[in-house]
Amino acid sequence: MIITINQRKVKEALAVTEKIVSKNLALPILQNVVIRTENGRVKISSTNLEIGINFWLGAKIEEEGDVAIPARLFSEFINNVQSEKVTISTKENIAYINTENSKTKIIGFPAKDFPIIPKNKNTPFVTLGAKKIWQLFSAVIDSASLSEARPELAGVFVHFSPTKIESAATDSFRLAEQVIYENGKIDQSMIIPKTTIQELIRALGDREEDIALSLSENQIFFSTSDFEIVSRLIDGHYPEYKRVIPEKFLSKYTLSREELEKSVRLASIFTSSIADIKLQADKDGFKVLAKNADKGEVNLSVPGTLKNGPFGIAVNYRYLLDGLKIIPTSQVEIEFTGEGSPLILHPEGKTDFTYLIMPLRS
Amino acid sequence: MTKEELWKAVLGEMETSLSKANFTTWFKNTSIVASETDSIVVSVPNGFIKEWLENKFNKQILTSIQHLVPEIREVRYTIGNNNPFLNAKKDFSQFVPDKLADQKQSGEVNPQTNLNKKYSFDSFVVGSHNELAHAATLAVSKGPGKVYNPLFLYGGVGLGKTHLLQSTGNKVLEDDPTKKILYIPSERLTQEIVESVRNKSVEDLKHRYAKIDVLIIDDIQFIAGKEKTQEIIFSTFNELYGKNKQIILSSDRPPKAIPALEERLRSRFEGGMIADVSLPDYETRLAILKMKSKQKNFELDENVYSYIATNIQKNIRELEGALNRVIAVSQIYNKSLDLKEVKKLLVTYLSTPYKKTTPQLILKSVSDFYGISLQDLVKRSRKKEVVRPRQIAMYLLREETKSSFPEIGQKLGGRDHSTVIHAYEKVKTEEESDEATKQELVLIKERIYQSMDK
Repeated sequence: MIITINQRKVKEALAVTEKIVSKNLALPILQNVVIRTENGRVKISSTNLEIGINFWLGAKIEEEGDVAIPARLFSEFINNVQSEKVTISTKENIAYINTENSKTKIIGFPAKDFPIIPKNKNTPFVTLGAKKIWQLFSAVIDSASLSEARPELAGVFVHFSPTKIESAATDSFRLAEQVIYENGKIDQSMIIPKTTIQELIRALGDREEDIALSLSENQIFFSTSDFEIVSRLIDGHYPEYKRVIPEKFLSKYTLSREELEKSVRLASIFTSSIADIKLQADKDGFKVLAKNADKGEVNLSVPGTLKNGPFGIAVNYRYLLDGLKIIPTSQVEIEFTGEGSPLILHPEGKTDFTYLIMPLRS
Repeated sequence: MTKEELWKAVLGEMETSLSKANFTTWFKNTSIVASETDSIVVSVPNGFIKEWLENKFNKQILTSIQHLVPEIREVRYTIGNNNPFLNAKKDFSQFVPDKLADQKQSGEVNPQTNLNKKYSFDSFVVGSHNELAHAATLAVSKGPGKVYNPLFLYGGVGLGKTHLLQSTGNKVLEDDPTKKILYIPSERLTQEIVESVRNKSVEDLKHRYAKIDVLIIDDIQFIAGKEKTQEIIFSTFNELYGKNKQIILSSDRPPKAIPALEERLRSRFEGGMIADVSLPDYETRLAILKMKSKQKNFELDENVYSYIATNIQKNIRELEGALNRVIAVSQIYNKSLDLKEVKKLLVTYLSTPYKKTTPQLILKSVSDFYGISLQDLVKRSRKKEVVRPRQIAMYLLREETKSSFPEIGQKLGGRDHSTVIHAYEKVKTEEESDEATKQELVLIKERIYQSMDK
């Protein structure tokens, strides 16, 4: 294989493909990316056997071929190289990477030992703009469970229907749900692993193009003209989370998101070991209180408007901050649904995003 | 040689020819899921492994299988989690949602009949409040068109009318799958009629309805004031009735009380059997809760059942909603809730019905209902048209707000408490004996509750 390629483009391709490469010592081939010529373009692929990513980029191809080279090494090299054009030529499993003023030799593996990334044989069931996909997933991804103890919670639940697409994630302490009113074409639910969504969001960056989604047995494909992510789906049934969201609220407080976020951050310095802060709303204002027997206590007040009666509730400040972070409007609506019942956050005047926090027992 | 033994032998052979890492990566959680005379199907955990086995190891696997079973010519691969080992790893709680989902799948709607399979007589709890309706629908389902035609069911929201209607349809279909059954809520019927009027295909529609063996129309009260719908129902009704085909209707009130319903339709609705479904008693509610949670394969504490049954009285749908909520939360947290937690959980459910009815609201609803002014109602006037509304108001004030008789008298133009007692007792006896008065009271109460929700 002999190819000449733009350094900046390779950097971009590696940024998308390299993150999933694992330090798999048992199967060293997985620590590589594969560079392969394909239909007049160069394809860079990586996989950890759960997700596979292909990235295509334009290049001058003098001789077809392929090679697998260590991902970390290659990416560090490309990031530091001082030349716009890079020529890669291979001889068996050795890659020679030459620029105007450098000559490098990297020892790789034969590409035929690299796992085959499943090919998409089905036509897409829906095509959505990158911004829509980003909106659908970025709001909920942080709420997915970090632990693999319950595999279905370590994923993002997505429900496609002809009138809307809903996504949800929960770690059983808090829950986020986002609805976008787009035609989802099919009526189907699925659980996509959290890491897949993270990679997808990373790959989307600030792209504007359309993303095509297709399904084949137990796998989902996200494809654009220059990259494709394929991932397994999580087998299992997502809890019927909708039943946990109370339909009615008892009281509601509307206040500035930014001011509340600052106050909660400040109060967090004084929390005890369980990260609890107390929220109290009455007609005089919205109070954020934290108390620690060793450090002292803090009492902050944020102005806003209260609907219905006053309320008080204790929550974990981290969950509250996570929720505030993703509220897109300048004002946030905080809904109290009863003692021991979850606290709900909405962007002002919008119901397409719901963030729910389970209260701490006081 | 069984499938398991065969696969074990293949794995044994593969293990010797591969490094340990390679072997575990590609062959963990694989198994033979099906075998025919000349081919076998191997289940693999994901797409990567499928591609790899297909492209790299297929020949080797096939060779080692042919050593043992020479007639196999082909090995196919499928992605699935059919490995028993993987299932065993799941903890018990994960089986619960599985079963929940199965139930959902079985509750699919038949596109021809609109019937939902989840409704059946088996899952219907019979109590004194719905005995008659249950017996009537059961009789109809055994001999459609023969016993009670038409059958008219009425009762409040969420008390099981739809359940009974759909169960009847399902039962008839089960006994004789050739029968043509159509279940249709009356709004859908109106929609179809509007559509057919627009497409000028009303005759086609009538023709289509005329072929039905059992026609079930839910919530018939919504045809009130819709003349074209009434006309089509009328002609369909006559057509079907004439051919001894079964017609079943439901409504939230008896035919007499449906406003703006043509007389000829009303009399036809009343011509067969009318059965009512009223509020379930405590024991029935408890039985319903237990039945529902059994269907969902979920056990709750005895106290929790009785708490829900005591506190939600007027609507079975709400009862089920509360139960579902408790079950969903226990599933998410993976534990069973105790009574205290359930109380907290259901607080929003229960907080709404405890709004207090105010005397002002009652007086306003009564005066609105009878179309007289509030002043007339509280004045000393003894005109005939205000006397009865005033008596009704007195009765409702006593029943709904539990005000004392002298207090009520004071509010309604400074009348003596004995006047109020007389009115109260008069309306009370009327309510028991006279259907018209009973309906009037129900309608006024509806107004009161509705304006309370606002």
